[in-house]
Amino acid sequence: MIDREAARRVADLGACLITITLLAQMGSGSSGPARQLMAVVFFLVVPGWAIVSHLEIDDLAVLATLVIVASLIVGTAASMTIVAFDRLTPSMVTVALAGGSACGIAARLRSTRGWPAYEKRSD
Amino acid sequence: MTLDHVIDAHEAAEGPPRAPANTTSPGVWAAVLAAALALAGGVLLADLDRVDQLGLVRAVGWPYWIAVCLWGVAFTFALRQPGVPVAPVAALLGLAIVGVHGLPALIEPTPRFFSAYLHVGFIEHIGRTQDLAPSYDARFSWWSFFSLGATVADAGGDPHALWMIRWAPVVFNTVWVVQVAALAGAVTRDRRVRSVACALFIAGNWVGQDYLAPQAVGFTLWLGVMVILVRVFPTVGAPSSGGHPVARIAAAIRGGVSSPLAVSMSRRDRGAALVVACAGAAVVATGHQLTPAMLFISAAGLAGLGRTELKIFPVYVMVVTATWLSFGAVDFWRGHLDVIFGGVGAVGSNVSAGFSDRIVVPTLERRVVLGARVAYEALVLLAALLGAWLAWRRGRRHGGMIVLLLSPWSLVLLQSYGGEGFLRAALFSLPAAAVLAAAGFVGAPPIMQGGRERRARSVVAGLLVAGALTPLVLVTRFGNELAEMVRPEELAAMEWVYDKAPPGSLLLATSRNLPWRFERMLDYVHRPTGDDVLSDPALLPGVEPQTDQRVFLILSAGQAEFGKMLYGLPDGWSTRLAAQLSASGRWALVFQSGEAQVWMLRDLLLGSSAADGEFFQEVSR
Repeated sequence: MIDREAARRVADLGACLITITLLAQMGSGSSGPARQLMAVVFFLVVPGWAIVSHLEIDDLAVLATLVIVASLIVGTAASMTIVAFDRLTPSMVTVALAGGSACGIAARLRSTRGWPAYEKRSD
Repeated sequence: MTLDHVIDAHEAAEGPPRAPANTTSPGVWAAVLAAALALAGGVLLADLDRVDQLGLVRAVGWPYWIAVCLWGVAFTFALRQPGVPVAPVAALLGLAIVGVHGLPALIEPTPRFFSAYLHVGFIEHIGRTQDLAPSYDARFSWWSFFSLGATVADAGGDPHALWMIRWAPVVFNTVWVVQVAALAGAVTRDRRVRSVACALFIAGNWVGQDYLAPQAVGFTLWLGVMVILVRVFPTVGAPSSGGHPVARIAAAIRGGVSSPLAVSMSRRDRGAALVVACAGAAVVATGHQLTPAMLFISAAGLAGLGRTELKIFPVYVMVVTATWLSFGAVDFWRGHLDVIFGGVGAVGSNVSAGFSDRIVVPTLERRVVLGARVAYEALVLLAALLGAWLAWRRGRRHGGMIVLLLSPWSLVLLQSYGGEGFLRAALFSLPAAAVLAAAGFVGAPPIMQGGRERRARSVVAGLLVAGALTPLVLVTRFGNELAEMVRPEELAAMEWVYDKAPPGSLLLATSRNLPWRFERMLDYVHRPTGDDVLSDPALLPGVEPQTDQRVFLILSAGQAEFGKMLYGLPDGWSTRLAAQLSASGRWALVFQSGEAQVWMLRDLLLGSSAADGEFFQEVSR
């Protein structure tokens, strides 16, 4: 149980790092393959992880499938607003998705109450 | 209890799969590293001048084939390891994806395939204007993928999404392989079977629908929903209720009991997965024309034969699709009902559009490629059915996978989809085909999973994937590469046109096989947008321009090969066309780079204003 949760912590950390890096790249106006890679990984993984990480799934491949599918769903739904609402730009959508994802991950971290609580529960 | 229940209970009783070995044999990693290095050598020694009508087989350097052999050895060794360690298998699958589906990205200087450039045009339009143009193209009625592309392109720092084309096949195939691994869990927990299913999927994916396109994302969502149906909400057939066939069929439709191979999830989490499936179906309905039909057919097949608990899900798919058609895609169906329903019942013409029409081709090499494709697909289906039969002989009935294998083909009988229905059906049936073949040939009852049996099956799997399928897939998948690769000079010609040609200009080409419409697509009139190929300038469409309209004609090597390959035009037809244009006196060559040429219609310039003369001087410079 600890191993699985530790892996989830690593994934949480990775998702946060991807989000922060992408936002930093957008803020600095940098361009190039590193930012492109970060954008693709973010839209494939992060929003979905923020949702699916709340579920307990014992099969890694199924977990990964749900993460990717949920990411595409959330990313697509959010992106469709740029056509529906002229005032929303693609950059705003990305920032909103990043903020929402961070909240989702934070909520999960809060619900597990950190390492000590989890170790105690597993005991 | 049916035999299904007994067998599934038997496999479930094995408990979770054996934990992978903590230490993988160094030999496996050495073989993986050697294969990667050999692949790099094959790429470095690749010669694009050797690309021919057989595709990339002759273009790759000789170390590429060493890499294929090493890959087979490494894969065999990895499968023979106790517990089948995840890391080396994942590395090998990644290597296979890059080595097969990423090959053009590695050896070609410019991103390939004209359709991907067109989709970049849709993305660019939505990103720049935040508006749609449904009257311009039907694809603007299914625009969710393009809006997602616009957002990703913007986040990537270059709203001009050309950068997304090159590695799209690698990204999509990686995602699909993960999903196939999840799907294979519906029939077994054996890591060898799941690994081989993934490898077979990579080697069997000759269809080439993994470029930057709505159908690629649609397929991802379809596969994800299928994984939810057969892994989170599976049933394993109905309890037998007597000997009469009608009673058994009725019991099957009523549904069976939950599979012991179902993913262990709480009621709340299963509800969340159901929400993801429903939302996925809604996004599919907004993103692509054909995928919702595939989703409905597959879900209905699973529900109808009692392979999922979600009996009502197909109805939901139908409702959400009809809702989008009624409100989001009105501009399309208002004038195209015959396109949507015209193929229903025309089984003969639909099949011929998918099969025989693809074999009527002029050259021997072309016949070899197209014949190989049909034979390859037949081999895939045969292997799947044989695998299902072998499993059945061992007492396993993979009914859900058989539904997913066969249901996509029913759509071909109902709707030709311009002849591409065959390709789509091949793609959508491939995940189940890979799983069935792997389960049949590599999977074995627990009692047979001894050392010698396991080793023999591992060797067969490695040899099959590396020795036979990889060379074949290079021919079947990249057999159009002469026409579908984009030469740098072609892209340079189009960038020149978009830089010089004023909005409203008429842009002519001999076929749609050109990397164009990727920028300000609505500002220009592009012709043709279909498959027309012209060998006579007198047939050029639109040579009567409107007042003040510039006319440009783009010739390129890709179009020349397209005409030869698909329409049987003779060698040098494009060169002769250029000579005719020059001799006519009506056209002036204004740009040339390699075989790419841009011609401009002079008619309006003769005796016209000084401004026109200056423009001609400017573009001619």
